[in-house]
Parts: sequence; structure tokens; C-alpha cells
Amino acid sequence: MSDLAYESLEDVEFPDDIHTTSTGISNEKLGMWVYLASDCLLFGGMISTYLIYKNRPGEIAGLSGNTHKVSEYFDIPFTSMTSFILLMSSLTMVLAVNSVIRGDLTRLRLWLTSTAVLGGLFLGGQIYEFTNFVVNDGLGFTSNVASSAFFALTGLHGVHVVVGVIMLLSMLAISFGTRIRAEAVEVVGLYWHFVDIVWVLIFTIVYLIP
Amino acid sequence: MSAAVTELDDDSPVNPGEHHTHGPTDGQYFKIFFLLVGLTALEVSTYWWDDIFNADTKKIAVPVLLTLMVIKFFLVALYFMHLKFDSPLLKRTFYAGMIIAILVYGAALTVMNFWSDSGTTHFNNPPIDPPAPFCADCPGG
Amino acid sequence: MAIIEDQRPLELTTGHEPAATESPSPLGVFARPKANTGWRSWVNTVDHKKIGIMYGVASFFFLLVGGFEALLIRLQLSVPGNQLLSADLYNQVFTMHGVTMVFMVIMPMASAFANYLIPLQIGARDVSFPRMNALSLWIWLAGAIFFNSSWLLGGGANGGWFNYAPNAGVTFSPGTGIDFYAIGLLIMGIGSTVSAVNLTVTVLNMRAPGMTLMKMPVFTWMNFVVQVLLVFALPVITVALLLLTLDRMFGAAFFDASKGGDPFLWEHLFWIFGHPEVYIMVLPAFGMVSEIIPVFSRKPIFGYPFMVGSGIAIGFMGWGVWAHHMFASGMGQLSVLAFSLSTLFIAVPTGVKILNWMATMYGGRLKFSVPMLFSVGLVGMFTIGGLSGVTHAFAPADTQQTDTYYIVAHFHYVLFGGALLGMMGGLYFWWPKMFGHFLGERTGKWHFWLMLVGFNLTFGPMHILGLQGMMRRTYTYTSNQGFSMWNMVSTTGAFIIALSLLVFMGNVVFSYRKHRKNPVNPGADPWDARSLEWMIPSPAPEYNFAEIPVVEEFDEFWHRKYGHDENGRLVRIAKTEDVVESSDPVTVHLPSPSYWPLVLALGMPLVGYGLIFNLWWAVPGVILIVAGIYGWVMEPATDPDASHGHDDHHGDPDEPDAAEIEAGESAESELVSASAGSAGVTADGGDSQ
Ligand code: HEM
Ligand SMILES: [Cu+2]
Repeated sequence: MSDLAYESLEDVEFPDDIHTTSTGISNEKLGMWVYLASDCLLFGGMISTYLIYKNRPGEIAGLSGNTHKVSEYFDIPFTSMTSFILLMSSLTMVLAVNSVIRGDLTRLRLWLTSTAVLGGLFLGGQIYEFTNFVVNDGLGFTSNVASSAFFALTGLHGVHVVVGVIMLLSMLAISFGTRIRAEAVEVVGLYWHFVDIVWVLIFTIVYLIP
Repeated sequence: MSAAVTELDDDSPVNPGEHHTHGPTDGQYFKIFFLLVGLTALEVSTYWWDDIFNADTKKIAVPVLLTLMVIKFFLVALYFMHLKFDSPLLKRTFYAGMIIAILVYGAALTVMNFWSDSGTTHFNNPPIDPPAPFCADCPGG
Repeated sequence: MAIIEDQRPLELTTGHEPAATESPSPLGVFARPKANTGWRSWVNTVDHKKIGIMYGVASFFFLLVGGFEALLIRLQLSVPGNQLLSADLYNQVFTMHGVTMVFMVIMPMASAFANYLIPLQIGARDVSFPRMNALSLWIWLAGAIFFNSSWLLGGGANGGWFNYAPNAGVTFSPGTGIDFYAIGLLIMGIGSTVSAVNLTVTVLNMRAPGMTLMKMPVFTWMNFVVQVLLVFALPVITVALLLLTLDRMFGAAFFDASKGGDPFLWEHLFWIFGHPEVYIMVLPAFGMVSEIIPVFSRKPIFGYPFMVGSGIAIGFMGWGVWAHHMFASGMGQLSVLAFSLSTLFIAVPTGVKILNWMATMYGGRLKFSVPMLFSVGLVGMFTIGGLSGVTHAFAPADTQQTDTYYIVAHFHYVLFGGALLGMMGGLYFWWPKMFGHFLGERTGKWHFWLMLVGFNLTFGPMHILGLQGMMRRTYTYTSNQGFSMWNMVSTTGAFIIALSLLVFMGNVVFSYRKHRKNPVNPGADPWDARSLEWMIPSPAPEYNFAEIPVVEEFDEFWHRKYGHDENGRLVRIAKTEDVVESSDPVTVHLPSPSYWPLVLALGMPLVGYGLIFNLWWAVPGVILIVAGIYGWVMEPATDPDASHGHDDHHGDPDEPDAAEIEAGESAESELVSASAGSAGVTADGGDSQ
């Protein structure tokens, strides 16, 4: 089955210029997609871990910790806000890509900045949420397996967002330098959107489905 | 599979740099974004369904939520991430990861009795009674 | 080691300015390094061939380390009631042996070949991301050294290579060994991920004109499948290791049943990775054998599409069988049944490969040079291992076999008899291409026969021992259990294997000396071979192909040499000398060397030590990582001085130019910060704590 699909690739014509690639897709973009495909399994594993543990707050008194699930303390209106912020950052990201394609550096900087700021806001929201769990609800990382799995999953996502923000800011810095390639912005955008769709999954699977 | 093959055939490799021309315009992006916002609002509303309809809506809400999630996922992937407009190879690469993830983790969750999870710490098994003493007067028996 | 010192063949023959040319660089420290001789040229290289050779040398070093550990195991077991190793030390030794052999020998040795050969076989000048290629080498090496340093820092890991929970938790393993396991494998995993992405993109994107996927040599194909498997399998073990790290260092209880965790989750995650991993280890060797057998049978590979297809099928089905490692875990009858069935099915594509190799040899003009001997050895030994695999695909039988020496016999027949024998054959086969001289043929035959006999003596008896009930991972046995004789035989065999490796090393040294005294170049095509790498001079010049070949057929090089006459008989149509490349390149544009990958990689083990011992250690580590990324991004994409007549052609600097895709480097930095992103997650994600 799979080899059939690959055979059909035989039809692809090959450009003569060795500076273009066999598939016509640039290395950077293809590489990013391959990496994102790989990341699917990373987040898949973390989400599965959460699913397995989410209903198992400590039942054995004294041994397995806090008897409350994290999901009892979710603040859905607040998280909806942060989800909305992340969604909006995806919009500003595509606008940034369109600007750089048009060669409009001013807009590019504007949209990159807003994307990074929105990402930062999302992170701020996450920090607020985490502190709230710990301080007000007494549910920390080690309270029980359910909370460990929750913090591990959302924390890993948060780390991805941090990396994304750093990449956005670097793009911004580069845009003041000598040259910036539209494709570089696009590839960073791919990463950013991926982080967003992972949040789409987390928001539904973790937060909204009880 | 065959659909994918025919799709591929007419997709000669684009010249790098040219393929940007057929991405969505800013206006289209805004439209998709508002669609996404609407869907999200709908998703969030399920949180209050129980109160609004005064009934247990979980049976309906969960499938609705999952559907909405999938739609949102693909809207972002296909349009914002240009999968719809780029070479099919990229689509395949990403779908391969997704499909393997879904199949493999789905199977693992099944083997771990996730779908019939009773939520006990004993993973669906009744708590084990301490084994009956092997002989009455053994020490510690 | 002779391999390292032998740089002469790799020195630039042409195509470069002498190293001395000074050029004022506006960016000072970020100028690309220029040394292309001496040790510096190895440290800063981004050349896939040098990187491949370094992978090879390092993995051979670890083969000796792991081999030494194996000898310790065998010495301990040679007689009943032996007290050479304590139970605890024995646990450490077999664990370190297993992990070393899997992650530091078989995988990197396959990487060595993949790095060296894939670009040559697809007609490319380098991989897609040359600096990232160096990065993955250094990260892997840093992780490997980090992992082995545990011997000096409180003892090695002792939970077996699959490191089952709950034994791996702090309760039962309070030492730091398992922390080294978790973090060491995370670091190496980052390196492998980078390299897997890189090689996947290389195969897809860097093919010469006309080299369609179905014209690629089988070796490249199998490695492509392996890289894709790695791309998808590594994140799974990354999850498992992250959870383990959180358990051990940050007080979580994911795998601790007493606190509501589930040890099963580790088993599942490990084997979801673990079974694809066994194919990751064996498919490269399959690829090598598929190159060697046709050459020494003077026939094209039999059923090329089936060869490729079965490789893909193995790669695909390998995802659906993992729980056959857990038949005895009590996961439920339905699960056992399902995974038993799927395991039986996976033997089919494996069998297809074996039949195809035999059909290739059938009716061929066989010539049993050393590479061919190893290949035939692989076909035979792997078949035995595959068959014993099928015997434990049947769950009822497996409940008798699991955790006995029968399993040990199985996986050594597939991994040693499959992967390692194949790669030894590959070494003899490609040695002239890599170093410009042959390995000794007679010594090579000694090497082969000693290895084959030693191997069978070591692992053959384990079938019997296992069926007699001898458990693996138990540090000793008593004399009345009836295990004594075969254990002695097995230990003897292990020393014969060690001897064969000595013979191999002798072969390397002496053939090199002979070559130095009396250099005879083997020529571009010493074996009358079939694929593109034999078209270029030996040793392969730095620029690979002076002129990128245009490919028309599978086995392109062969078809340039041979054709059919009017009666359909095979005839030579061109002299080899006329077909191989001789011209000097005029405008070859090679990526410049860089130190930053090494800087970045050096930071990782420091972060690891920081997590294990004292977070202050992580500070210099993080600084190195950040400096590495920063330097990487800042250094000029390609040093214009190093290029040869073919300068970068940038337009107006302020005008973004999407159409300008140079081969490789500029946006690579973005990609790397992405992968370094996952590095951040795994290696220094816990810093904040
Ligand atoms: C012909 C196809 C194969 C089948 C049907 C098969 C089947 C199995 C089964 C059922 C087990 C689990 C036994 C147990 O623990 O009770 C096993 C173990 C193992 N197999 Fe295979 N196998 C096959 C090929 C391979 C190959 C090609 C490799 C590696 C190159 C491999 C490497 C291993 C390893 C390393 C283990 C032991 C893992 C451990 O417990 O430490 N097998 N095999
Ligand atoms: Cu397996």
C-alpha cells in the first residue's frame, strides 16, 4: 500500500538546477513538517498519559495523595479566554506571513510583535492558572497522579510556546538586520500553528470533556 | 489511497517561491478566524448546557465537542498551515504522524482498559483480598 | 586508532583554496572556521563523510566497551555459584551492556553508514542540513559519554535495557544509575531526532536528477524507512523517559502503583518504541546485504519492488506488535490474542526478504569475498533468529520462554547475527571507498569464521539453556540445575568473538600500514559494483561528485558499464575507467565548517549532571547551549571565501526573496531552534524546579 503511494512520486519531474530540491519543497519546510509529524507522537503520548490518570486521584487514604481531580478546579471561562488568545495569535501569524510575502516589512514587524505578545499573554494565563491551582486549591505537581499528568502535559505545551515566542522574537530581530527570507517566517509560523492546534486538542480533551 | 495518487499526479513540483501566490488572502484568513472563534464559542457553551437545558447533556456534548475539535484542527492545519495549498507530500508526512499517533495510542489505551475505565485506583479490578493463609499455624500466614 | 589517524585520503584533493587565505570578516568570532587539516578539521567538520567516519569510530569504541561488559557477564556465568560479580554489579553490567550495544553501537554504526552512503547513493553533495548533521553526532556522543560516565559517578543503571517500572522508581533503585539512563537516553534521543529529520529530508529532497524513489538503491531505501521509523518512534520513548525523570527527580508517581500510578504505562510506552527500534537496528544491515549480495552474485537484486515494499511493510507493521513483549504481564486475553496474531504476520515480509536474497544468489556467479561471507552469514543467522521469534509469537509457548535465555538467544541471533554481521560485511565492502585501500582478504576470512563460530557457540546453547528454564538477568545458578556445561560453552564462544574482533582490529592496522608503505589505489570501482557511490574516486573526494550524475535507471552505474547485445546477452559496453568520474570540479559550493554544533552539544551533558547532582552544573550547560544556538544563527550562512567561483547571489538586502533557496543553510537555524526547543523540553525543562 505505502509503496504504491511512493511509486506515484516517480512522476515528479526533477529540476536541473541543483539548487532546487527533488520535491520542489525547500529543505527547511519539509524538515519542519517532519519534525511536527514527530511531535504528534510526543503530544499523543502525553495526552494519553493524562487520559489514563485523570480519574485516579488518590483513593487510598494517606498513600496516593490529594483526593481531588484537577478537573474539579478548572476555570473554564478563564481558559476559554487564553485559548481565544492563542487562536488570535494564529491569525496574526498568518498575517505576518502574508506581509513578508508582500515585502511589507513594517506590517511584518507589527504582526510578529503581536503574535509574540499574544503568546506571552497565553503563557501569563498559564502561570496564573498554575499558581491558582497550587495556592488556592492546594493541588500541586506531586499531589496525585492526575495532577502530575495535567501539569506535565500543559507544562510541555507551555515549553513549546516559550520556544515559539523566542523564535518569533528572533524573527523580529532578524527583520531589522540585513535580510529576511519569507520562507523562514513561514516555517516559524508552521511551528506556531502546530502549537496552537495542539492546544485545540488539549482544550477540548482535557478541559471541556469532563 | 487512489484518490491521493491521482491528486498527486497533477501536482508537479512548484517552484519554490512561487507557491506563495495561491495561499489565502488576508480577508480569507479573517473569515476562517471568525469561523474558528464561532466554533470555539460553541465549544465553550457546552460547559453550561447542563444548566441551560436542565438535563444531563454529556452524551451529546462529548461527540459535539470532539467533532468541533476535529473541524478546528483541520481548519488551522489546512488553511493557516497551508497544507491545502502546498505539496501533498507535506500533507502525507503530517498525516502519517497523526495517524500513527492515533492508532498506536488508541490501541494502547484500549489495552489499558481506558474505555471501560471505572475510575478506581485498582484499574477496574476489585481490590485484592489478602491471600488466604497457606496453613493456619505458619508464621505470618 | 588507525581509523582516526587516517586522514590523508580524506584531505581535500581539489576544489578548495589553501587554508591559509586570510579574509577580513566583518563578523569576527562568527566567521566560519577554515581549518581543513589536522584534528580541527574533524571537530568543525560538517562533511557527511567525516561525520560518518566519526560515528563509525565512536561506535566501534563503544563496541569494545560493551564487549568488555559482555565478557564480564559470561565470565560470571561460566561456572555455577561464581562470585566474580556481586548480584548488584551483575545487574549493572548487563544493563550497561544492553543499553550500550543498542544505543551506542548498533544504532550509531548504522548512522555511520547512513551518513556516509546516503548522499553518495542518491547523487548528492551533502545532506540537507550539514550543520545539523554535525550537531546530531556531537549530541549523541555527548549523551553516550554522559551515560557511561555513570560507572565513575556512583554506578551504572541496573534495571535492564527496558528498565521496567516499578523497579526503576526511586523506591527500588535509589542510586543515580537510572537517572543516568533516563537523561542519557533523552540526550541521545535529541541527537537521533535531529539526525532522523535531517536524513529523511535528505532522501526526499537531495536526489540527483532522475533518481526517483523507486530507483534508489535498497540500502538507501532501508535507511529511509529507518529514519522515518526513528522520527515517529523516538518521541514515544521521550515521553516515557520524561515521565520517568519526573517520577525520579520531581516527586511524581506515574509508574508507582502504590500512589495510584501504573507501571504498565512504562511497559507500553517503552515497547511502542521498542519494537520499531528492533527494526531500526536491523533494517540498515538488511540494506547493506541487499547491496553486497547482488554485486558478488553478479545479478541484479531479485524483486526490487518487493524488497522495498517488504521493508516498508516491516516498518509499518512494526507499530502493531509491541505488546508481544508483554504476554506474561496479564494484560488480558483479547490483547494477547491480537498481538500474537499481528506478530505472526510480521514474519511474512521478513521472510520475503530472506527469499529474495536467496533468489538473488540463485544462479548467480557467486564470489565469496569477505563482504559476501558476512552477508551470507547474515542470511543464515538471521533466519534462525527470525524462526525463534516466530516461536515466541505464540503466546502459550512464550509464557514458557519469556525471560529465559531462549529470548536472549533470539535477540542475539537477530541483532548480532543480523545487524552486526551485516555491518561487518558493510565495513569490508565500503572500506576501499572510505579509506582508499582494501582490508586484508585473508585476515578478513579469519575474522569472519572466528566470529561466526564464536557467535554460534555463544548464543546457540542459550536456546537449550532457556528451554531448560535458565532465567535471564539472574547473576548465578547452582550446579545441580544442569546449566553448567552449556554455560561454559557459551563463555568460550564469547572469547572467540572477542578474538575475532582483535583479528579485525589487526586487519585494520596492518592493511593501513601496508597501504602506507605501498599505496595502491583500489580505483573507483573495486568490486565491479552497481550504485552511484562507486562512480567517484576512492576515497570519496570532499565534494562527492564533480558533476551531479543524471540517473536513468535503477543500478545506474551498472547500466553505464553493461548492456545487452542483440542476442540479449549481457555485455560490457564501456570500460569502467571511462564511466567513472575523473574531472575536477570547477564550481562546487560546499558548506563551510562550524564549531557551534559542538558547543551546543557540550552543554547537554552538563545540564544532565546538573539535574542529577546539583543544579549549578546546569548553569554552564545552559550557557553553552544558548551560546551554541546564538553563534549558529549569527555565523554567516556560507563563508564566501570557501566557495569556489559560485558566490551567493543576494539581491537588495531589504527585499525579502522567497525564491532564493540556497542549498541548505540560512533557515536551518530556525529549524534547529525548533529542535533545540524539544531539547529544552527534555534536557533543561526541569531547571525551573
Ligand atoms: C521474524 C520476526 C520476529 C518475531 C516474530 C519476533 C518475536 C519476538 C517476540 C514475541 C519477543 C518477545 C519474547 C518475550 O520477551 O517473551 C521478541 C523479543 C525480542 N526480539 Fe524479536 N521477533 C522478530 C524479529 C526480531 C528482530 C528482527 C529483532 C531485532 C533486530 C528482534 C529483537 C528482539 C529483541 C531485542 C527482543 C527481546 C527484548 C527483551 O526482552 O529484552 N526480533 N521477539
Ligand atoms: Cu518485538
